[in-house]
Amino acid sequence: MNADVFLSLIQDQFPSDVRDDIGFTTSLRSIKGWSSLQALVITVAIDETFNVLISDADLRQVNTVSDLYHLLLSKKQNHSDLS
Amino acid sequence: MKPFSFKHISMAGLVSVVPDNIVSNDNLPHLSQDEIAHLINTTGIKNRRIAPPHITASDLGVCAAKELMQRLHWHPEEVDLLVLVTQTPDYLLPANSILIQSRLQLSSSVFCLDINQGCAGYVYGLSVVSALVSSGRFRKALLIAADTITHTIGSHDYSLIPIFSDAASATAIQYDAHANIDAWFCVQSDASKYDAIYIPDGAFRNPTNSKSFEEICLDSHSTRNRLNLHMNGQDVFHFGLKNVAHQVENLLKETSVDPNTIDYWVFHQANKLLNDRISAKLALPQNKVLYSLYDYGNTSCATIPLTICHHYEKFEHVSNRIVLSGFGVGLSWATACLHLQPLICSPIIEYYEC
Repeated sequence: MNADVFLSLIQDQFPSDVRDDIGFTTSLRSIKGWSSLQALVITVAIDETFNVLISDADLRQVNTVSDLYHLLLSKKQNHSDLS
Repeated sequence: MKPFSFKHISMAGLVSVVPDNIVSNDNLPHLSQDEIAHLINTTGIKNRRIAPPHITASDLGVCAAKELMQRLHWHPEEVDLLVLVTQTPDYLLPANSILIQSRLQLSSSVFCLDINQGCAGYVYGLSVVSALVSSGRFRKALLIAADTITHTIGSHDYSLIPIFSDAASATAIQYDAHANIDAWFCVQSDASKYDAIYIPDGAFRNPTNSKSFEEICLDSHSTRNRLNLHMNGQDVFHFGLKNVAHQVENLLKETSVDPNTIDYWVFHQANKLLNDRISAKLALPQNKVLYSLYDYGNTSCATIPLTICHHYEKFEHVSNRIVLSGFGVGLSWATACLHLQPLICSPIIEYYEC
């Protein structure tokens, strides 16, 4: 999984005037327009693109975009270990 | 779970009722116009129907049932089974189906049953009614699915207010010896995430106490208390994305039903984001997936019949093979595959006192 593809996916879920401010070290909850609804939008985008489901417990343990990316990597790894 | 099936049942008609009070998401406080547009676009919900406090789910349900019986020319003495699906009863006890039995002037011999189910409840109810009617013991059954779920939502809970809405439906199911096509069902539940959608206080695990009324802050604008509906959207999405498409695929595979032979797919109307994703997982053609979210929101157990009535012209004069799938509180999920004869079915009706 390419990190830049992941970052673009997250950026694409926000309005154009916010996208450029989002990087790997950005705290998700500090992004302008972040809301519980926006978390669901991202959950669906990640499911659609990477076939990985993010739970509430998962989301609670991540802070930055990078944290979310690494969570995704570990879930992908677990998934492939199981299959 | 292995699907199960019943023969000799037919759906005769369907009526859905909503309160006449329309509330638009255009006017939500604390949001900019851009945020409101994003919310409406994402949830797919523009308008909601809100019952005033004195109108209960059973009031809406009685109205729907009376309209249905009138249209079918069913006399009260002919009905021998009444199943009510609701989570917003008039009273904790007695059973609300019995109150409705009386208001519809049905016989005291009617088998009355309440089912405590929400968004999967219509399919749960259909499976129970189908089982009883297919036995031949019951000939004419009413299935009422009714909720005033907005009455459970905190008046300042802006995470839930834009989603939920009130409605009732009445469905007529009758014994039909010539109905030889199986009606298939698959129902499942799992309480490991029971608190993803629940009302913490007010029953007997946590009786109402002074803390029940304390407002809990959700964010800078939203609060709810322990007598209000609590929902963890993230967990509900996780559950919906994980289970619903899988159950639908499993039912069709186990019953050797070709998805291409399905005329319409009617899912519980949760919100557009989740529903679209479930449809995409199943690779369904968009013109066969029916929606009513924009005008009616999420009406709990009533969304599936309400959506059929919203598209009543598709069901009035022709037979259809349909898949219905509900998912939500419990957590529970249930799917049915039915062959429908032309239905006595009308556009959605606005509530009137009856």
